[in-house]
Amino acid sequence: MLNHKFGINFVKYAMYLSLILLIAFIALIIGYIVLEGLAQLNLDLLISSNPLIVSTLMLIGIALIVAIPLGIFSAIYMQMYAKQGRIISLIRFSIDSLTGIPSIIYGLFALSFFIYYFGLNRSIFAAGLAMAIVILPVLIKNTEEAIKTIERSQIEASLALGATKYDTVTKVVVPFCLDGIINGVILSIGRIIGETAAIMFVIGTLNGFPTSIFEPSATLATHLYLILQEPTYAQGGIQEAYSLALILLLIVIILNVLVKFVEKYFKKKRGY
Amino acid sequence: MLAKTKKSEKKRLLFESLYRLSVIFSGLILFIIIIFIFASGFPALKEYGFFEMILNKEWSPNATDPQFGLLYMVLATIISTLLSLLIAIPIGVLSAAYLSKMAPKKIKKTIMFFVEILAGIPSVIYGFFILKTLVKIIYDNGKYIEGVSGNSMLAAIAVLALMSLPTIITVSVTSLDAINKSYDEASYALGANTIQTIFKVDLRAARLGIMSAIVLGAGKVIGETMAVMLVSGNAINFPGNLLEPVRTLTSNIATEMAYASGLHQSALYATGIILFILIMILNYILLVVIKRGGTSDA
Repeated sequence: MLNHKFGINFVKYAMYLSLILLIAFIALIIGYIVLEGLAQLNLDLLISSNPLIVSTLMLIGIALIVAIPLGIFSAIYMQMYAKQGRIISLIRFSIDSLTGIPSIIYGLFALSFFIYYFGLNRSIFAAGLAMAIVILPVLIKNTEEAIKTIERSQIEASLALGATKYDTVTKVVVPFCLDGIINGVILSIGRIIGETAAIMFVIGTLNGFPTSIFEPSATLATHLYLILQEPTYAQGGIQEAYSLALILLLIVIILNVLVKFVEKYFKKKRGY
Repeated sequence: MLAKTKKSEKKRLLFESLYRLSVIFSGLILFIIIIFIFASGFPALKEYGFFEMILNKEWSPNATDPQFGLLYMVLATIISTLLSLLIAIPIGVLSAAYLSKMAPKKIKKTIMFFVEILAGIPSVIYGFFILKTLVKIIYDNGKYIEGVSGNSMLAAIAVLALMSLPTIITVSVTSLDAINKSYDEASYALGANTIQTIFKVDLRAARLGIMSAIVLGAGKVIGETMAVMLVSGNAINFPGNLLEPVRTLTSNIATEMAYASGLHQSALYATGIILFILIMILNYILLVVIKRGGTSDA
């Protein structure tokens, strides 16, 4: 087919058409949310989303406090200490599989594990623990990938100078991997902000301004979902939905820019 | 001096055992999740039987003689996954080929930046977008037909196709970028043009990466919940009409969990188990594909 001019042109135009469709999708979804969001935005709606922003921040805080040390320590052990064998490949398989599990399964698990088995209340805290599990594989993967880019000779030089493995990890490996770790954290924040299915059964419902992490609440995304399910749920109804969507989209864009910025900054710092 | 070394030695031991504990914990999570999901779904599976559940088409959890048949939902999940991939695979792979092999560097960078933003957009927003656009269009044009409310399998397929694109594109671009430059040069030296090189050399050389891109996209589609729930209408129908509402496995869980208890709740966990099994089958297919491709390449 590709030996004739017709076939070549056909394929070429199919390619251009795909690209045009892709660009159209991108422009449509971003344009729609931004334009509609700006049209509906007003000060009252922004003020009414304050409790949601606070509880979303609390959720991010809890999930990161739990998951960052676990993720970084696990990555360090797997890359620097573990002898490659059966057990470590089983552990690696299980962590890799976590990435492919759908959010709703995490949601089911969080309900039976944190609420029914450990008897926690439906709260930001329970949702934070659930999110810590969801982002753990992201953090591990990013840290591991960063450790892999360190040249073997740098680690060996540190060991040859008489540093212990532990000193090498804290003084050579971790500082060198900082950009990978930071980007893992930024990606995780994006995931936490947008997640609904994994926490919808354990976060409870919004009940005024959140004063403690042990209260039920809602995040920007879970609240947006509730409004869309039942437009009379919130005062501003669908208007509020548009401004919440706009806020979420802006956060996603800012986080993506931040990732690029971190990559650039560290590249410059290393001088290549 | 000696005291200080002792102290740092203690610190070293402490942290090294923390590293080990963390990795053990991380490795155990998957098994804890499996145990809890299966234990919670077991009562329903035991009462009704696994095959009875996936072959029965009736789901009426609140009836006096409750039925927990998932057949229509399993079919809706599989069919909407396949159809959405049918749309997303050509668009995704062809765009990836252009971006990796033909696009000027600046254009590639810009588009990939936006593709990454697409990947980060929460699923609720995708659902919102389709709800306010496609669902509305379907409703406006078809409201005189009985059963057409806008919320439909077509809307679900559209939202799923859209959501799988970023995964398919980024993974495909990465694997196309990784092809050894000498392949392309050899192809050009033999007189092939760009299109011939892309389709006869590059896409073949990168086929494992593209296969994984597709399977990863499929995994995302099967497990997607919130976006589908907002646009699919959630009524349990045989998925035979694109304009009629359907319910997928994921939305079955999310819709009913809020008020379910007892055996009904267990049946929702069993729905999760079946979803889990579908995803495991998919991962197994990926593994087989990679193994086969690997040996035939060598």
